[in-house]
Amino acid sequence: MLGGYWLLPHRAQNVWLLASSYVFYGTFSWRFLSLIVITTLVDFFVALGIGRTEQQFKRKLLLGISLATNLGLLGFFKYYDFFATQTGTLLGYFGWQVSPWLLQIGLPAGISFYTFQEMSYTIDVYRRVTKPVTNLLNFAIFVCFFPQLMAGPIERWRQLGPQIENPRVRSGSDFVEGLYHILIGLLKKVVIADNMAGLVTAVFTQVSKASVEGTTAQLNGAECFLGVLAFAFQIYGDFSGYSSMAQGIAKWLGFNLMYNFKFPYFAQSPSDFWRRWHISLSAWLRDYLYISLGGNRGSSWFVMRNLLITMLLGGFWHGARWTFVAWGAYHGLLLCTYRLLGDKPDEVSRPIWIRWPKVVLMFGFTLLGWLLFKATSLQQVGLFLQAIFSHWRDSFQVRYILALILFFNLPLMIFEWLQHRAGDDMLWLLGKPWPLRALVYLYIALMLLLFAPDVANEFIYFQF
Amino acid sequence: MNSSTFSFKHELLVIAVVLAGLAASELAVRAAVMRYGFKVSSNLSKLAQLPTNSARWYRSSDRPRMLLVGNSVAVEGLGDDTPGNSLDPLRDQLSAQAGCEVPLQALVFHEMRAREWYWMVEQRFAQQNRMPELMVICLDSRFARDAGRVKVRLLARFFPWNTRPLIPAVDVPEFGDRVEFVIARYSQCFSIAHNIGDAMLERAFSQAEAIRPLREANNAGGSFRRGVVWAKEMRTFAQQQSSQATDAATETTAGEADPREKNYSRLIALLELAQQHQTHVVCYFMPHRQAYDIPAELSEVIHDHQGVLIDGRTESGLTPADYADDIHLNHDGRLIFTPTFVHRILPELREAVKPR
Repeated sequence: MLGGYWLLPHRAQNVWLLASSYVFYGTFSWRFLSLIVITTLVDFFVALGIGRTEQQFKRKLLLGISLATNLGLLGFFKYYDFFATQTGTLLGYFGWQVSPWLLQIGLPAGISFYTFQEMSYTIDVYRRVTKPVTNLLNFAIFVCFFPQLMAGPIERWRQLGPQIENPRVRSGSDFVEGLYHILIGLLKKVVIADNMAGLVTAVFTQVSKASVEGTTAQLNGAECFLGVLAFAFQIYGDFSGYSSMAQGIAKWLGFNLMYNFKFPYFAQSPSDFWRRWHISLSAWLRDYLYISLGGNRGSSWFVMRNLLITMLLGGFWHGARWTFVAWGAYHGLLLCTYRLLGDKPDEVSRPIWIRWPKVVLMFGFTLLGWLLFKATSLQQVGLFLQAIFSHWRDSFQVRYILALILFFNLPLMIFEWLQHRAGDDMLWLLGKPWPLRALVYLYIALMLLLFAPDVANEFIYFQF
Repeated sequence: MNSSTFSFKHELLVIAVVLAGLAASELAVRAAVMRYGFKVSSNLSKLAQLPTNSARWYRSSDRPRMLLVGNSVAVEGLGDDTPGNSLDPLRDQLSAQAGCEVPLQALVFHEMRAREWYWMVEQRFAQQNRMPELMVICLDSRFARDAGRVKVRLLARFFPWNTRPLIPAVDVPEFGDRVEFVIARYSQCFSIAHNIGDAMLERAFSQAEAIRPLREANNAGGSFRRGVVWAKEMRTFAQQQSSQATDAATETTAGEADPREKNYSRLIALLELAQQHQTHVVCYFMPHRQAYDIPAELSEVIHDHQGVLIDGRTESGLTPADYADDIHLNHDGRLIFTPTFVHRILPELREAVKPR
C-alpha cells in the first residue's frame, strides 16, 4: 500500500488518503462515518463564511454554528445518557420517579478528537490566525487523517495543513524515523500496556469483589498501591504507544505529527506534567479555553479560577463520569497549589538532588490522580486509599506484581531517562551508533515475540 | 535526524542484526524442543505426547474406554494437575464404584474450547480409529461456543491441515489469526513463544515455590481469602475477561440465521463425530461458584445429537467455601465433587457398552 501511495502524484495521494481514512473509520463504525462527513462540511463552509465577511456579528454567528455543531454532537453522544440519568436521580430525591429515555449506543469512535481538531480550525479562522481552506478534499483529510483519527494527537491546521496542501517528499530518514516510532509504540502498547492490563484488572477486580462481599478489611494496601502503579504504566504505554505508532505511520506517509508525550513521569511539577502529557489536548485547552477565560491576566484568584475551570472541563472531556471530573478538579487544585507555592519554569540543568525529589513527589501526585481516573466510583477510590494507608503488608503477590512491573517497565524508563537527560531528545537513539540501535530493536522484537499477550486490549483512549 | 545523517548501509545492518537474532531464537527453540521436548509448559507437553499416549491407551485397554475432555475446570474439579497423579482420585472412584478398572484417557488442557477439543478428538482419536465407548465433555456454557479467541498457534503446531483442512470461517475467522496461523505453522519459536515467555517469568520470579504454601493453605481451607486471583494467573486474567466480554458481545448478535449453527458449530461437529463412531457422549456442566445459564439452544444441540446432558452446576454439598476461585474447586470441594461426578457418570458408562 505504501509503495503504491508513493507512486501516485500529489493529488491522487490525497484522494487515496481520504479514501483510506474513511475505509479505516468505517471498519470501526461505519454508522458514524456520516458524523465526520457532516462536521467536515459544516466546518469547511462555516470557515469559508467567516473568512469572507468582516461583520463581527456574522463572524460570531458562524463560529457559533461551528461550535454548536461540534459540541452538540459531542454532548449528545458522549454526555446525554449521563445527564439524563443524573437528572432522573436528582428528581428522585424530590419524590418524582422519572425513567429517562437513554441512547444506550456506543460513543462514535474518535469523536472527542476530531471535533476538537475541527473547532481549533474554525476558532483559528475566526481569530484570523489561519486563513480558511478553499479545497474541501484537503480539509476532509485534515479532519480524518487515519493515523491520528481515533486518538490524536489533536493537530492544528497551521501545522498539518501545509503538509496536506504541498507535495510530500519521500526520504530514507523518514523511513528510519517512522520505523523507530512504530517499534517504540509497539513496545509500549503490546508489551507494557497489555501486560500491565492483567495486573490492573486483577487488583481492581479484587477490590470490587471485596466491596461486594464485605471483605474490604482483608485488602492489602501494598497490592492496591501496585495496582495503581501498574495502571500508571498501562495508561502511559497505551496512549503514548498509540501516539508513537500514529507518528511513525504518518512519517512513512510523509507527514510530521506533533509529539503528544515527552517523558511525563519525569515532570517536576503539575505544569511541567501537562507540558509532557497529552500535549495536544493540554495545548488545546490552554489556547482555546484557558486564554479565552482570561488566562494569566488578572489577580491570582482569577487565574486560579481559570485553571480550575479549564482542568475540570479537561477531566470531563475524558468521559461522562464523576471520577473524571474529580480527576480534572484534582489536577486543577494541584496546579493552583504549586502556583501559590511559587512554581517556576523547570530546568533540566538543576542539580540532580534538587530535581529528583521533585520528580518523585510529582509522580506520587500523578499516581493519586490515576486512581481517580481508573476507579469506577468515588467509593472505590475511598477503598483504595483506606487500604493503602492502613493495611500495608508484604506478601508473595506483592513481590510478584512489583517484579513484573519492574521487569516490563524499567528498561523503558531507563531509555526514557537517557532521552530526558539529553535535553528531551525524542530521537536520541537515532543519533547513536547503529549497533546500539540494533540491540534496542532486537530487544523490542524479542519482547514482542515472547511477551505479547494472547489477546490484545483495545486502546484505552478509543473510549474517549 | 535529517537526510544528511541517514545511512542506508547502517539501516541494512540494523535490520540484519534483528533478523539474525530472530533466526537464532528459532534455531535455539528447535534445538531445545528436539532435545527436551515441549517441557516449557505442561499444556504443550501434553499436546505433544497425545499421539503416543492415545495409541498406548487404546492398544493396552479393555472396554469400556472413557475419554475425558475438558479444561482446568475438569482438572481442578477432579484432582490436582500435577504430573503422575492428575486423575488418580477419579480413577480410584471409578474403580471403586464400577467394580472394575475403567481405562481413562484425558484431554484436559488450559483455556481451550469446543474448537480445539474437536480437532484433538478428530485428529488423535477418530482418524486413528481410536474412539472410546464413552466421551465425557466437562464444560460450562462459555466453552461450548464457537466465539472467543481460538488457540491459533496451538492449532497450527499440533493440529496441522495435512489430512483434514481447518475451516477458516469457523476455526480461524479473523485475518490476523490466519496470518498468525501461517507464521506459527512454520516457526516453532513463534508458535510456543507465549509459553516460553511465561516459563521465563515463572523461573525468574520462582513463583512456583512461593505459591505452593498459599495453595496448600487454601486447599486445607485455611485463612487465605476466597476468590483470590492467583498471581500466576494475573497476566491471563484480563484476557479471560476480554474473551468473556467478546462472548457476551457475540451473544447479543446471535439472533441471525440459525443460532445453533452460528454458536455451536464445532460442538455439533464433535457430537456428530462421536455419533459416526458410535461413541456415547455426555456433556457434563461443571459447578461454578457463581451460577450460569445453559442456553436452550445448547441443550437442544446436545439432545438432537443423542448426547446426554448432565447438569452438575448445583451439585449438592458444594458451598462457596469449596472453591479456590470463581471456577476451580479446592481440595475440600474436590473431595465432595469427585464421588458425585462418578456416581452420575456410571449409568452412562453402562449405557456406552450396550450394543447399538
